[in-house]
Amino acid sequence: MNKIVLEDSFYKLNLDNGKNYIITSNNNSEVEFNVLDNTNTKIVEINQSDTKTKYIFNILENSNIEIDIFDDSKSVKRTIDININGENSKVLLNVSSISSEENEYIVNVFHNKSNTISKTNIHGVTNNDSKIIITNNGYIKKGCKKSKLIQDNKIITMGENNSKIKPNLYIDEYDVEASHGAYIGKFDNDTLFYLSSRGLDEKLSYNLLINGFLLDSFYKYESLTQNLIDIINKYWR
Amino acid sequence: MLDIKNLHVKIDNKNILENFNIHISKGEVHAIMGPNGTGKSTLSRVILNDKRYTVEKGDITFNGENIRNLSTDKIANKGIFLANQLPCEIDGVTTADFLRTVVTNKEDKNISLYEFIKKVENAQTDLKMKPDMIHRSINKGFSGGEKKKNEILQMKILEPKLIILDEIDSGLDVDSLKVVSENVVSYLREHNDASVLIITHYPRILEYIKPDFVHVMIGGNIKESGTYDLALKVEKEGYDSYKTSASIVSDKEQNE
Repeated sequence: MNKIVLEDSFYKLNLDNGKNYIITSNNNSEVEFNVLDNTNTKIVEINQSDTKTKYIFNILENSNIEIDIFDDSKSVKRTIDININGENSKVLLNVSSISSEENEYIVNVFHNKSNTISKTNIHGVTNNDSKIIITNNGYIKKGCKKSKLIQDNKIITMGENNSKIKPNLYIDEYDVEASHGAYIGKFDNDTLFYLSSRGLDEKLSYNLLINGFLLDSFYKYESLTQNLIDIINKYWR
Repeated sequence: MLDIKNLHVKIDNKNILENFNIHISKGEVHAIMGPNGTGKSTLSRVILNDKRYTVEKGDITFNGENIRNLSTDKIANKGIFLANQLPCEIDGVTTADFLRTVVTNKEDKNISLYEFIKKVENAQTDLKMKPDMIHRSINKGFSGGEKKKNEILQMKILEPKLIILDEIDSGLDVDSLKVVSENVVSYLREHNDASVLIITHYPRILEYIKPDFVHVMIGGNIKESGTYDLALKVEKEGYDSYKTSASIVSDKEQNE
């Protein structure tokens, strides 16, 4: 995996076809990532510090990018703009967040060409009275036919509920598929009963459910998985 | 093995079980039959102490121990397994990870990965399941039949002493019903002491898993007990002759 080390400043980076990237440190930076034509790439960030960042992804034709971000922090403010500027391109954004105080995400996905796909999964878990605020805006411009936009926003509250989700769709074209889901709450009682009926106590059940909820998109990075499991175990084990 | 005496259960102030009694000995197969809304599924969940139900009075003992006030996980670890009528779908948790966690917890030690994989593979073959299914999120995108097979897979791995099959036959096609039933029967052959409580509307499953005792349940308690012939009588005559003015709350309504 190629390392990207960011410090407090503005960057422009081209992501190359066939390469995977890991952002290893980041505080208060603004980064513009350019994904050129016919590029397949993945970028991942595991963050355990307070951070305020803005990422802009400009994606050209026939490209496919997966963006995976894991935050375990007291204070995060992230803005992620995704501009799909080329036809037949696809973006998958997965954000998993553990909030100890306040984590905020503002995601804007712009479908500027036809036959483009975006899927954003923003999952968070709050502890005690911490909160997560998600604003997920999806835009499909007129003329961008056959585009598909899917939002999945979920926050599991392990304490008080102070969180908010604003899932917004701005669609200016008929020939598209778009859906958005938002959930804030506890794990479902039926699910907890199911797990306990197999002999798992409450702690083990929560550990298993939170691992699944936050790490489902990260198991593909085998070298990072154990570290992420350890982070979750720190809270729920 | 399982002894339920004078059990009274409510949900939202509605009586579901009233003076319910049953005794299941080691190695016995019992079937409880009844129409919708008689409290059959409630019974299965109350045995596992689902907190949504209020047990007003009565005792549930398992192998001589009163389990009425134990938590669900502790009851399960005593060896009671509930194959659910509507198994949950759980995103992001694979059946393989789930089972490994459950088995490790039960044995209180890390089990050999090789041994575990071998056991799961054999069970999957017996159940004619696709090999990749255990690496998918639990029951996510599974058909009704696949979900029921996944329940029986868990049963085979966990090796319980008492198996409760809550309408395991609903949503199963004939071939899947046969496979599921054969696996339960072969499990009983290999585990002589294990007992089964089958909860069902229809006698069809009882053609494959022959019960020692059949009970007809109406309005929250057992109205008649007998042998397999009773199931055949129910098939012929239906439940109408048993119905009384007892209050009936549908299982579906209770689950809501």
